[in-house]
Amino acid sequence: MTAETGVAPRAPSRVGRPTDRMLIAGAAIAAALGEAGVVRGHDGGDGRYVTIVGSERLPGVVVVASKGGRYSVDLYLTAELVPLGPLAGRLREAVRQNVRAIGLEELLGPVDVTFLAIEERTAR
Amino acid sequence: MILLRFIVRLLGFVLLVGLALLGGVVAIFSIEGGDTGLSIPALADLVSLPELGRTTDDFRAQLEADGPVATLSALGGLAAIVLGVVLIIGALSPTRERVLTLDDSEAGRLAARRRPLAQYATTLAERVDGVTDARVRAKPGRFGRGILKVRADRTRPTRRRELCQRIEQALEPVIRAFGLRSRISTRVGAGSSRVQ
Repeated sequence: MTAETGVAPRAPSRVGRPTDRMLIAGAAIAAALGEAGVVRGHDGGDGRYVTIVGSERLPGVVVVASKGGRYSVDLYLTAELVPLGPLAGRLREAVRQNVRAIGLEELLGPVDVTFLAIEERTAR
Repeated sequence: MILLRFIVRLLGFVLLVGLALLGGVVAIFSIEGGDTGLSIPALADLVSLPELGRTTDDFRAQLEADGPVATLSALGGLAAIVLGVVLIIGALSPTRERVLTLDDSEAGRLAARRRPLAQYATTLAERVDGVTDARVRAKPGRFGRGILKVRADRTRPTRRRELCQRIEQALEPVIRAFGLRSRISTRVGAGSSRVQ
């Protein structure tokens, strides 16, 4: 993940160059994890919400081709005990910014956010 | 449910492999005609089908009479029915997450599993002054609006109506964000005379 954009580096796929779907998945989950209130990506418990990018496993993000040649992004997250509505709004914006940073904004479709677990962070 | 799905997948895989092997063997033994070599009668002899037939004749005779074999068979039948029901549940259970949807617009959908939402609401409700314990259940509504059912224990001096209002205020962020309705009930909790 780069410090400037928070975008995951382009990991090589099994066939060489990473696909747009992989790049969008990396950018989306990086954006989500950089947002205050998000603890981690959630793999659904049985690994169903995972994107494999090369040798890297990205839990909590699924990118699906949708109509109009775009890709819809599904984020599955564990969040802190914060207002979830505003957090989802910030997440969408952060995902758009990160995807824009890698030049694929025109391919980005809807961004679905599902909170699968909530963890209360204890004060230290 | 995850375990049921795993059992169904495993059993399905094992059965398919078994079926494929069986089909392969039958295909190989269909190459030749007659009673010898790679023929079906030879295969039947090879797996001792005639002896098996005699054995099952004996078994069926014992099955018709009263005795331990009949009891065991009945139990086996019941176990097979239970296994069948379990497999049907595992195969037909919905694989989609049961979530409460907050918003479904062109920009995307916002949803949450019911349990963390209830957990969030419980934490908010338990912080309300006068509440000694709270249990919250989040349920999807019939007409799109979900509902939060809150059961709170209160201290004896706390007035019920005031407490309901305070709980509703505390739950306001989640109620408003998810467009939910709330149903709050309270009762005097055990040990409510203690100072909080």
